Amino acid sequence: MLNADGYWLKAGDDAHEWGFQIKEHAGHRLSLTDPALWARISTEEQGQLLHRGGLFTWRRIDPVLATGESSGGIDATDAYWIAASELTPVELDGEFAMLRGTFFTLGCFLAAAFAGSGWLLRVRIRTQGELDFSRDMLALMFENAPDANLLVNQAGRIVRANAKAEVMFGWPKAERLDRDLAILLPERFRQRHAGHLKAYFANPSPRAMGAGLELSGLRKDGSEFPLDIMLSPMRTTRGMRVLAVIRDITERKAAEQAIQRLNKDLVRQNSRLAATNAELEAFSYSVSHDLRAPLRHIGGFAEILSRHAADRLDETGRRHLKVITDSTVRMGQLIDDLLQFSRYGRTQLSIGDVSLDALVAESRLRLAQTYPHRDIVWNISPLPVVRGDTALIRQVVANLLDNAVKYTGKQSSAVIDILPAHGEGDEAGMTVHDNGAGFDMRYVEKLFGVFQRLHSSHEFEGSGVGLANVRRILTRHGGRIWAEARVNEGATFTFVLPAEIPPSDQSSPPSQP
Amino acid sequence: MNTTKRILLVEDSPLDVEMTLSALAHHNVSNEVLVVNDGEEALDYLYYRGKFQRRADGNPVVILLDLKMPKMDGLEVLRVIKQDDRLRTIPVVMLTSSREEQDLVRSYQLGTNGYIVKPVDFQAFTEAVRQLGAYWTIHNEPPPDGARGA
Repeated sequence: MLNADGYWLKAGDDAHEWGFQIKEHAGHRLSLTDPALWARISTEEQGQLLHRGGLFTWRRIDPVLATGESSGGIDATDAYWIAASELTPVELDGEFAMLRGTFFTLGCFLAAAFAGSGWLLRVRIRTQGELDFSRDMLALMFENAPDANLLVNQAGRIVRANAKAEVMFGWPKAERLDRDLAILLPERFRQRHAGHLKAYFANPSPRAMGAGLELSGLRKDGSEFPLDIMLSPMRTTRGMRVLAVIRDITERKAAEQAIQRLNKDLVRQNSRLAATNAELEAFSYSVSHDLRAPLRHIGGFAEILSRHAADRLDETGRRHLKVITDSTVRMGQLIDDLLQFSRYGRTQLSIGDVSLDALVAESRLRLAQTYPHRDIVWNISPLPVVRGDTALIRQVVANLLDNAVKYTGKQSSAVIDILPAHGEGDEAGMTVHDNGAGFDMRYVEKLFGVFQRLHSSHEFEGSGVGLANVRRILTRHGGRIWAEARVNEGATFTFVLPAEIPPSDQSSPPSQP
Repeated sequence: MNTTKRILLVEDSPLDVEMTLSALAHHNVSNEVLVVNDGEEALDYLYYRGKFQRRADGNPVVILLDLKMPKMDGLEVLRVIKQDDRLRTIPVVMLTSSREEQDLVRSYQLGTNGYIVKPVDFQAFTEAVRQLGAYWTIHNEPPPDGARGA
């Protein structure tokens, strides 16, 4: 039941009723929600219309006649009401029940009026409610979307814009965007855009606008900003429209540019590192060849001299020659160690599972052959499997065990304990404890430096590169090593490796020597 | 002089030449050692060119080839030798002062028969050369000569 203004007096859904009095229902007005239907219903006294799949039948009725009483709360200016219905064969009784009470008489009237047609009544109101709901939802989505929404007609005029569009393009509400779309485009694009618009309406389909191009919008204040536009064609009763969903991508562009800048920096740094590495490579190659040649000559000719002239030299002279020869051997060893140390910083890591048990067993076998006369008590607990480069971790284990054996050389009974170790989080590794010479903890920082020694070489042999290598290898793996000791009470070395090696550490040189 | 068991020593450093010869003499290697000072000269010798145009026929029993030399280095000489059907059967041993892996890998890729790091330790050095000399010139028959080049 509708009044003369198209408001529902009685509908399938209470929420649609009395829109002329209840503010929240104001939108539920047939003249708004279905203008085409309303155009017919409101202009003709009575009639029938096939509309949206239903047969609508309506007739103007006199409120007084219909209710049998004065109009009460109903707007007294109402000249007439309209009873609108869709007729179907089976629901007459049900609809009568619905139209009970004050509308009972109306029901009788309608039944009488249409009995001859053979159609039965069904009020359309319920379906209409669902349509209204969809329509409201679309309107809400259009209006409150986070993107700017514009509905544009074929002439390129904005026929509807949401609040976000006004904010995005800087047009205040007072100056509604009810004008030519061109005002939102930078001047240089306008001519081309008119052509594009025409082409779009000739071949409308949902698509991104100017895919792959850098699109710009123009704010009211003349500033420009980058944007993305999604186009969807809409067929309406007033002709073809295009819905443009517009997103301001200023922040995304800025982020992209920041990423590009960072990438360039990274590439630059990488090539610098690569150049440094190549220099280091050339340097160590040169050291390896050129530094060794004169050393070989010193040693070689000292040897020849001792062979040919030994009988002409006295004891002191022969001792001096021996010092020369021994020193060249030692310097050769130092060069080798230093080159090895440099190489550990540069070689690519090949990461896999490393069984510390196996590496300890290997080292023990080797040590047993090197020191057949040493009597050492080994207490070895089961050790974890870690992630790392087997060849390099082998060097670490070998070095720590070598040291333990070497520095217990003066104990009457050497005891070496090997235990599993755990660091922070999932770090795992091992601890090597000996009861040997130990060292003064005041110098613990020097322990891992290149050519740093805490014992003289006639006390214990060594070049002072071993622990530097150990630390360099572990650092490259993202691992750590530390030591505790007391003079003459033994030393404890512990290293741990992370469960996963960060990929950046697998090929880059270490940050410090 | 036993030219059929001649050793060709390609070495640019006179001191290294002297040490090598001293080592060979000390260990009673009796083979004639012909010394050339760079890669070009080595190829001149092998191809009977330049001052070796009129040398006696025959390939050396072994070539001791220094890796690092001015102008044409040892690796280039090695490549030429191993690509020539008439020369590739001559055993070539690279002599070098470095333990650089890249040198070793490239030498073997080019087909060297041996590789000796010239040891700073003179004893080890003379031992290495003696064994090498003994191996190729005393215990083994040298490979049959390639045909003389045109």
